[in-house]
Amino acid sequence: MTWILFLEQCLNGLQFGLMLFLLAAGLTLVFGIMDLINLAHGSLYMAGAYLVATLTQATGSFMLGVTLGIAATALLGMALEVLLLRGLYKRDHLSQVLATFALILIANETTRVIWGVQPLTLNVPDTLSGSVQLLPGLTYPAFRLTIILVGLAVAAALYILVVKTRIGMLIRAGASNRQMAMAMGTDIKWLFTAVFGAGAALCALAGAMLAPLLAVEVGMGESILILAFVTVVIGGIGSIRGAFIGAILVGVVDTFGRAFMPTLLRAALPPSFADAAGPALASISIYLLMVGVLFWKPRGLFPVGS
Amino acid sequence: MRHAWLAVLIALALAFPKIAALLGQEFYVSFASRVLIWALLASSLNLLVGMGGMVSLGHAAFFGAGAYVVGIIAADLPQLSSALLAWPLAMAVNAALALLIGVVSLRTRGVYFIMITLAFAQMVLYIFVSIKGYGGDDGMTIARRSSLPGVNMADDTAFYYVVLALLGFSLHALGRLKASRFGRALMGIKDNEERMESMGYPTFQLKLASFVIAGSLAGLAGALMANQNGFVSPNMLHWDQSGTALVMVILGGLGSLWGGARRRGGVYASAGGADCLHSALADCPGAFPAGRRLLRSRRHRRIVFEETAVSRSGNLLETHALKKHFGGLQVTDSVSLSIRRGECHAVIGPNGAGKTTLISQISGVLKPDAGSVVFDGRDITAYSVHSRARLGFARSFQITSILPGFSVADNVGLAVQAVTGTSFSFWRAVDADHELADRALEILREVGLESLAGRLAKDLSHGEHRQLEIALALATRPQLLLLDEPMAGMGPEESERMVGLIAGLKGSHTIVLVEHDMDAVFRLADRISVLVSGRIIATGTGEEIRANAEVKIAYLGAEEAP
Repeated sequence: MTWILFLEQCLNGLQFGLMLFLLAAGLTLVFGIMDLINLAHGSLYMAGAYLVATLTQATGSFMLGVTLGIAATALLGMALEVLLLRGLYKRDHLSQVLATFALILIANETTRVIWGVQPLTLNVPDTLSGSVQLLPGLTYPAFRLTIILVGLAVAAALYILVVKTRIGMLIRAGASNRQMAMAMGTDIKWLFTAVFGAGAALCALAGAMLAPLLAVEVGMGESILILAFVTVVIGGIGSIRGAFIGAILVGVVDTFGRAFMPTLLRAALPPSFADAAGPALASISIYLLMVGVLFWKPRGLFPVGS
Repeated sequence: MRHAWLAVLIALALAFPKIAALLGQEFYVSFASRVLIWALLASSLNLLVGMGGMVSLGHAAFFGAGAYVVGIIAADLPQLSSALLAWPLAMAVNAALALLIGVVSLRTRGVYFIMITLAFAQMVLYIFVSIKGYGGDDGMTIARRSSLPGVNMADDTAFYYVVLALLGFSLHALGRLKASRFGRALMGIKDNEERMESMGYPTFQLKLASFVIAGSLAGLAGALMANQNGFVSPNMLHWDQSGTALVMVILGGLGSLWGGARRRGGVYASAGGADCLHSALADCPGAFPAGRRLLRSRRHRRIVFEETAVSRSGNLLETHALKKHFGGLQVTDSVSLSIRRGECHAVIGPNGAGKTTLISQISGVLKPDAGSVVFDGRDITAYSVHSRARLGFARSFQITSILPGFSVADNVGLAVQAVTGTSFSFWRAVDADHELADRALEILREVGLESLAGRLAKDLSHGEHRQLEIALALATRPQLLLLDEPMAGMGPEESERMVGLIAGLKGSHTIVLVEHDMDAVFRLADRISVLVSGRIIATGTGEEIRANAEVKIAYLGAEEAP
């Protein structure tokens, strides 16, 4: 029985980690290549979730809604890059934090104006609403399993894109030494816009996958944004591999902390104290993880560049 | 003019409750108190961001923790409910919290610092969320405000004046701090941390001290806010509070003291999104330009300062079998050098011989893999850069490293400050310290830069930058000068001036000179060591080195050697 629970939590952790990876992959590239701290990355996630939910309702098809929503968010992201963020690359971190913080406020208000304050709900598509028997005694919701498969597929595709293709080479060159990549004639402007669009598309995908599980509401981007930042910093800024390892680490540590920490503490400490400290420790476990990583490796697990 | 505006501002602030009462808008008094409290929070953050260059996205942790101290006292510890106890306690708790967070966070820089402060704030947030006894997610109400003898704190107007007085005092104290030795050192760190460290400043401790001060002031702001609202919730710890505080600091003008206080109203009243976006994109440093020049021209008195005594004989510095490799490349291979007291010892060698790596190990920037560095009979291999600087090391950098945003005189003034007295002086204005300025001018005269004393360092020419480098090195009253390619990139005239300058320092200082300009080396050096592929192949006088066959091969190539 406990083994089943353990396996189930492993899958939950993996699923959460992979979704974090979708967000962190775009964030770490924007961070590493453009040297931009984009606090508004979470807003793209929110925009993606809203667009997918709305388009799914409008078209009546989840697949169509997801496809159109991702495309729309990618366009939105590219427009944002061309019109606004491009001017921030050369500015210091402080200006970037300030400007993208402002974008969050603007995005939240705009969303409220368009969709109102009530959260949207998106139902799990009928074909995926059942459960799958993985092992005797372990059934797992089909939709969550789909999330895991989609996450793994995207991770594999990104790996091939970044490691095996010409454009991936440009991206890696940009992340490890931007000036040199520019000096060698890479059309950086185009590359930046494309990378930003791809990051936005990944945000929308994560938004679409999580929308049926969570409420689609204003402010949904902020809490997950911080987790994505934690992931990026743990993995090492600019490293896709680091983002992947970091995301899985954060996903598993967070899920396990929430699932097992209170029980474990209750075994070791007086129940009154354990009941109070358990949830707190579970919530802060990933931040402790990040602080620990930065303490020993101040540039993350997989530092990029010099 | 400035004073006039200040007077008007103070008068307005003092009269505000009366005006509000006249207009029948008493509601705005508590609103104004809130604005003042936000101003206090923004000012405390400005100490970090504006003066110290530390962009913290976790300042809300201190704001919220300060508020919770008041809340917990109101709920469980009524014997502490006097403001005279509760508020200092809130500040002390936050000082301790800031110390803890600072010790870890300040090891990182840039983006990582932003993220790690954010992470700590999140931890504090979740800790308070999980304490169900104090309201958990919902927060807790505070039945009555902290008491203050002789003041009816429940009255919004009285409370407004208390907040105003505390804000006024805090702004005054921050102003004193900015003009003090501590403040100047902190701004130097913002400008060029590496340089400050090599001049002997304990940069980590200085930053930590400012972090603790800022944290405790933010705690006070939190305590006041809890009193004002009669309510504390984890929302006060939320990271968008940290973001909002940053917005206030920047809209007001970075590093400008009044800036933190000035724009508070605008941001508080509106969401401020478009406003701060505009400020970030427009190329202006905010409403108040930062960084008034610190130094005014002042009459200079002659003072006699003692040269470092170099009478004792023997070796001042020795390295024993130093080794350093980067990956598979052995850059320093068993280098043993001895530098005699008072000599000018040149280290030459072809490009890539490992000269800079050697200098870095001597100055402590790099730790050797094996071997030791002995200074004045003491093994200093494990010493940090700044403790070596304290012992009397001074390094000029191969790539110019100065404080670009400071005047020439302030550059040298900071270097003098590093070796005279403490930099942990928070109250006394550094401008009142004539010793510093006079000594700085003395040194500028020595290197021939006195006519440029008031100029911003970033506006100097390349040759003048190098002279300033030497001035910074001299100002720390060094026993040992490490000059890393002082002639690099100079034209013939500038080089000639530099040779003259170094020749003038010879005899009174022990000098290690790394230089490519052979003409200069043979004119200046008492002894020369030749470094090739990480090894010393010869040490001797200029004559001996000129005659050395191995050196000829290394420099001219095997075929051309006789």
